[in-house]
Amino acid sequence: MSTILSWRFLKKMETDRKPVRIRVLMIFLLLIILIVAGYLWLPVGRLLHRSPLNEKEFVNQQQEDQSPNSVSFNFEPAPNTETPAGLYKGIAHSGSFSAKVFGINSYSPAIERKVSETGPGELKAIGVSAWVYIFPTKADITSDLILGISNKLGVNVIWKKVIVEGTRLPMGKWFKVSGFFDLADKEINADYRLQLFYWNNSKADILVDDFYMVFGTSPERKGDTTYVDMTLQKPFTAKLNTPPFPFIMAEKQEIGNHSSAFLVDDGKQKQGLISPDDRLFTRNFTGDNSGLDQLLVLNPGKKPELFVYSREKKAFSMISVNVDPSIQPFMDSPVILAGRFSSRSASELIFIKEKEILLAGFSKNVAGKEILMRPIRKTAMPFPVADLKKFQFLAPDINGDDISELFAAEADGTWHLFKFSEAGWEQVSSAEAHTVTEWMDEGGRISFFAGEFRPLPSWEETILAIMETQDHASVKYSLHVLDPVTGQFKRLFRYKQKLHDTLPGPDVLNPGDQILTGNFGMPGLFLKYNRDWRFDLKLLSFENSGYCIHGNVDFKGYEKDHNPKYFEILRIIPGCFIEPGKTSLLVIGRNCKKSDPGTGKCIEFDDRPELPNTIQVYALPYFSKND
Amino acid sequence: MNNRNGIHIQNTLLLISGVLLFLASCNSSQRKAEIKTEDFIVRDFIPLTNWNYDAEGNQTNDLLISKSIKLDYTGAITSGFIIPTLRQVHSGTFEFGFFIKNTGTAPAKFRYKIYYQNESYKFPEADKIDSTRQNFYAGENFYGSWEDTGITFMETAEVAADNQFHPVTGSFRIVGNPRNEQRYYSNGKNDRWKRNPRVGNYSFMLVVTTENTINNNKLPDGITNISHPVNGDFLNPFFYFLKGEGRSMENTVVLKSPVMLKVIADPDPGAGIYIPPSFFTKEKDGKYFCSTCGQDDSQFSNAPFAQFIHYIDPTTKWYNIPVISDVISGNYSRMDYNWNKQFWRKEELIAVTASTTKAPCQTVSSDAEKHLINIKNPGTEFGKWEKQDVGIITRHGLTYGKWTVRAKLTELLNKNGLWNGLTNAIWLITQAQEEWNLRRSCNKEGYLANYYGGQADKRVPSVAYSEIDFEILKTVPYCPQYLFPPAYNFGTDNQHRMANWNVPFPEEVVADDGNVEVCTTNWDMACWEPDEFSDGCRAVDFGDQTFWAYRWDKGYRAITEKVPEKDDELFGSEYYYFQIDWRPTEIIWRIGPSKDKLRVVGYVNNSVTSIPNNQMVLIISQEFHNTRWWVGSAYDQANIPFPLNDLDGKVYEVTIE
Repeated sequence: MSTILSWRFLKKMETDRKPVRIRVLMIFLLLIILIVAGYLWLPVGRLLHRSPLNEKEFVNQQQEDQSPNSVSFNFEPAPNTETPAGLYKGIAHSGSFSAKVFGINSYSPAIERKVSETGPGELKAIGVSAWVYIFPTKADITSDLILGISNKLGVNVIWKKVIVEGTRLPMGKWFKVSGFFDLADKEINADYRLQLFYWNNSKADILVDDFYMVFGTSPERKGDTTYVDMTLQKPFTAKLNTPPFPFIMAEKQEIGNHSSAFLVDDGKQKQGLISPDDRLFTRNFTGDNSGLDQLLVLNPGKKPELFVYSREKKAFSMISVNVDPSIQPFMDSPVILAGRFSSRSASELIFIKEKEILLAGFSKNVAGKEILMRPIRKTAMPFPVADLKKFQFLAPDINGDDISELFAAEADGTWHLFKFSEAGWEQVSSAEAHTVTEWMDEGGRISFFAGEFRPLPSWEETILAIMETQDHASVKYSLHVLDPVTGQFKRLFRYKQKLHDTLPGPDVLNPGDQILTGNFGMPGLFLKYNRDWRFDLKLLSFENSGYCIHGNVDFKGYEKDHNPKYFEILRIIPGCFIEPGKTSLLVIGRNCKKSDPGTGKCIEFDDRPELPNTIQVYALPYFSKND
Repeated sequence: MNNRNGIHIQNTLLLISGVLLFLASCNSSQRKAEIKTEDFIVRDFIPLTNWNYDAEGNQTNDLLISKSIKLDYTGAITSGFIIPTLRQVHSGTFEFGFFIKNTGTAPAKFRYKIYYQNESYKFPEADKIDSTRQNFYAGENFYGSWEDTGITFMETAEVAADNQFHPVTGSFRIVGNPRNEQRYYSNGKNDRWKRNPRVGNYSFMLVVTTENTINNNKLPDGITNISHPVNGDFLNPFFYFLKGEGRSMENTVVLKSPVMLKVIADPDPGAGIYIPPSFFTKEKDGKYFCSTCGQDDSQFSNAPFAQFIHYIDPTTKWYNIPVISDVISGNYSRMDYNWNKQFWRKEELIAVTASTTKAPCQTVSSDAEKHLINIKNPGTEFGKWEKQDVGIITRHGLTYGKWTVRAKLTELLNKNGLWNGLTNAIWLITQAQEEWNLRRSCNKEGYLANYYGGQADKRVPSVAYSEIDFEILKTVPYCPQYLFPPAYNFGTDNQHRMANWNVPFPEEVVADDGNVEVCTTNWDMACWEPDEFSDGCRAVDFGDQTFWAYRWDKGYRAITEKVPEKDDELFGSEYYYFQIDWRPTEIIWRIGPSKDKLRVVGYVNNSVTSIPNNQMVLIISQEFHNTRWWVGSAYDQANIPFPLNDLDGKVYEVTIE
């Protein structure tokens, strides 16, 4: 209306031939009227990007345990700084300050983020919330919590709001407002900017606090397609090695430590705060006739500890281990293996450095006395080693004579097999004698494991090699046993090593897997443990035609909801801890407070009330042939 | 009435004594005032002389107090409810009587007619603005007269003009389709069950007039013969005689008795469960049939409940985690939920919809000794993953009523506040989507025609679909709108940082741990006629309470209110009461630990939503819903384990009054 009137007036002016300066004055007045009208009725912030507040003037909002893909802001100025404009002291939802939004067409300070800062992938949804306080008033409230998205030119392209209006709103107290906006049909570039602020267009005085933005919607699950569809009205038929797999529940065993983080905790004394990073070995080192494995904890700079389980007391106890001074320099050896290298009565350790190997044993365990770790023999490395890190060492009982051999293999197909004797380490065989083509990794990644992988009872251990091709496109595995006649390794099964056509995943053997061997009932059963993506523990066995996944292993019997698989770090050590001849699993769970930024390795653990540090023993059901 | 089914056998002595009592009352001090006309005087109209149970069901000889009766379910599936039946009264009819004195000069016969009307669930007879006009909806009221509507006014014997009061007796019964409307006929048969008598209080009105009035057609045709509409609408005799022209009809006496009859429906859960052969047959599916659950003739005739088989929309398929667990009894926690939400691959999931039983009577049973019905959602096992719905449904439709259920349905939340995925539902649904059961017309653009019709569905003047729900589950309120939906952080699948996958719910959701939402819904098929029809949140006041009703948009077919209540209280106790008070112009939802301690948890009226007026049946069920239907829910059905163990419910009592 004012525009039309002004135009007509101007037209008249022209015809009246009034002086130019009066015309200019009229135009100026017209502009003022337009600006005031715009200010009163048009939220200018909708058109233009608002200047965000300077977050450096505020206390850093992000908490270490903050949930991902989210931003919180509670308007608390940084200490010893001038209070930024737009804040109100004295009434706050958290802290001491909140933000003012007083009167018609008023705005709170805005917090801002670039779309690129909201997380990986496309931004498909945003949730927002804030806390609002309305000073008691009779005014009709018109206000919004606004999410604005503007392009790099500062022009607003998306405008979403949570409407807070009416006469039935809470007053004189804080209340929350929230909303969720689906942006899947919007094109949002990574350089766009998001702003969250509050707009008030009523006479009321409003405070806001604790802004929150969360980005993204329910993430799509990994994987390709679902195999089982019960809506087709057909009975389910399990397919070999195809999920879903049955669950095999490992049950928590009583070890008398009151679910604490100490292996020994009887309420009076606590011993054995064992870290998942500790060097752990499970064997019967003292040669007692319990038939049980003991747990040896070795750490450089600390006295070794040996833990033995009493079936009568249903608890572990600790035996202190004295170390012969000659062994001390070897305690930080890169490779330490346990096995029965020189004697069938008790297990020993070999400490391997690049140039030398030390074989050590343990004295008998006499009740109430400490035991001694004593050297048996120190020798030079029996084969040339330029870089110890390139070798993998195992201590299999390769020929079933209850004496462990020393197996060393390199990724290029080089391998050696030694046996300990009075003369030292005697070579049994090597790659120079014959090559095992399956152990040549073709530039990819290969891992070796030893265990009783035969599906029939046997004493000889088998060498399992798992290899991933360089392009990660496929995985191969092979099983070899030593032919006692020829002294050469031969395939355990007649088929050639298996090739998996699918990309490596949790159901496929991977070089990064931990293969946990032991006696789980049926001969040949073993566990595959992988944490590339999630806790994944499966019970498998090898057969004439391949391998068979029997099921997913999960846990039961734990305290509250403290399932070991939830820990950020979970170490699993198999051993016959509880019952002779039956393998159970020692699990050590920790969460991480601080990681090394370079390696990602946890350097400080965090004992959390919702999932406190744990060390427990779990036992799988004992599988018979028909299970 | 001691007998649970309210069925009594009256012998001839009782009948005679009733008449004697009536006759004796002419000398009683409780004699009613006389009503005079020019030619005669009438007094002492007593409508129920042969029914002796007072409003509380206790036996009485007092003819002048209000009475009560329970519906006889025997055979009612085909005949409709009859009040009374031969099992309740020897003659199978109520007897009534009155006294008349001929004040003329010569002996004369007089004409009389009795009318009954359901007072509890009626529209006021007179128009609100112009009380001389009949209320537009009064024709819907449930009223009747002689079963044979062709019998207009009955004739007395000749009454001498001897200045004495002479007794006149008669009989009547209350039946379905009392106006014998063709709408409720099929294949020439009057399916009275399609318009069953309403529960609640009935009043009785006697009209006495002269032969001259009848012979000269001084009364409208639609009043003497109630099956005849007048100008397309039914003329309500209670309006006509009490408020309308009939009030001043000469030589006509109108007596509305203060004695009322309260009719109560009390289907016995122990009286058996019927299995409709449309779903199952005995030969193929009768493995679990027994004396109290099956499809033999007795169960067909007498069982008040049937097993309810849900319709499962195949588009509601979801991809469930492969976990089987006892959520309710175990330690299943939010951490378990969050882990399972993130760390399963598609290949490991199980595609399901909610399922229904393949073995009728396996998951429902009727206990004749304890008079209750057991229902259960069965536990499952690897390879047979299933989330199976279960329910029972009443077989006899009614319009309006206070539907009260006493039941112990399964708990929904465990001690950690985790939800087991079930929705406990107590709901009314249209008895049939057939023409005879159409709702009254929607006079503004019409109803959306189909339940599954979507936004582009056509609009039609009338539909037969109706539904009134209690649905109780773990979800979030729709209102206030500024808090819906919550801003969830969905987390990421990073196992190396617990805070990434074990994300907490928003604080307002956590504050409701331990609570379930009692959701009350009326399906009005988006009829826009109510004055205050709207979308979004809208306040509906009821006394000193305010309920927030929500409709997604103007094309959404239902309006819902939600109120948080403690799961432990509703489903952790021995039983709880749930009541849908369905009235002509409003619906009130109540719950409580006892019938005298019910509290209102939902309310709507015809200013915000169209109240159904067709015939509905009751369903009690425990169901697995796709949580897509409940936007903003914290827990997704797909991320809740399959049930390891059976989830049990018990229905103790259903009363409709």
